[in-house]
Amino acid sequence: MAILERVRVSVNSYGVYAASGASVDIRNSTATDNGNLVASSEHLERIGVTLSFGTVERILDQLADVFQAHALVAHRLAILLRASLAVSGELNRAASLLGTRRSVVFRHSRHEPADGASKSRSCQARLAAVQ
Amino acid sequence: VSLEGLQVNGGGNGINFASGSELRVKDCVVSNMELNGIQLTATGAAIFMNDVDVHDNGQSGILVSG
Repeated sequence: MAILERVRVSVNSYGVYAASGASVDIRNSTATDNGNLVASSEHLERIGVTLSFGTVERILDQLADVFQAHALVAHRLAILLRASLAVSGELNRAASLLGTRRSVVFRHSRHEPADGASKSRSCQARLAAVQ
Repeated sequence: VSLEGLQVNGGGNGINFASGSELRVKDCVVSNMELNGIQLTATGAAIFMNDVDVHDNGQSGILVSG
């Protein structure tokens, strides 16, 4: 398992190449001007990419363009978006823009504290592009 | 194995972790390699990279195959 956090990868033939059986978790990192961000085999176990909500907000249109341009592999993508209720509107917009023309599974659930207290409400949305 | 504050510039592979249980790379720059910037092939190893800049390498910036 490789965890890459705040890693900047630029101007390589492949930004991150994850071969068969590899498991890679990429968090708050950037990849620019590479031939490919991630190259994977059909048997690649898992690639996770975690972005802060601020990052998603800043590059949302670019992300949406990339997903649209690679719609044929969209079924291999699973996107987990988390945000507080205060920004659920932006979250919905992000989920909408990141969706592809394929079927989209969107779950929006609210987790209440077990003791019924009003503090620390959270909102979790899971968006998965499926075949 | 822990690497911190290194600048690796030019050569074949910048960092090649072929065996071992854990690798930590922090605050390093790996650039201008003919092959891979960081090559990780150790099977089952735990890899942690923080604040690493990998650029201008001929093949992969980071290759993970272990």
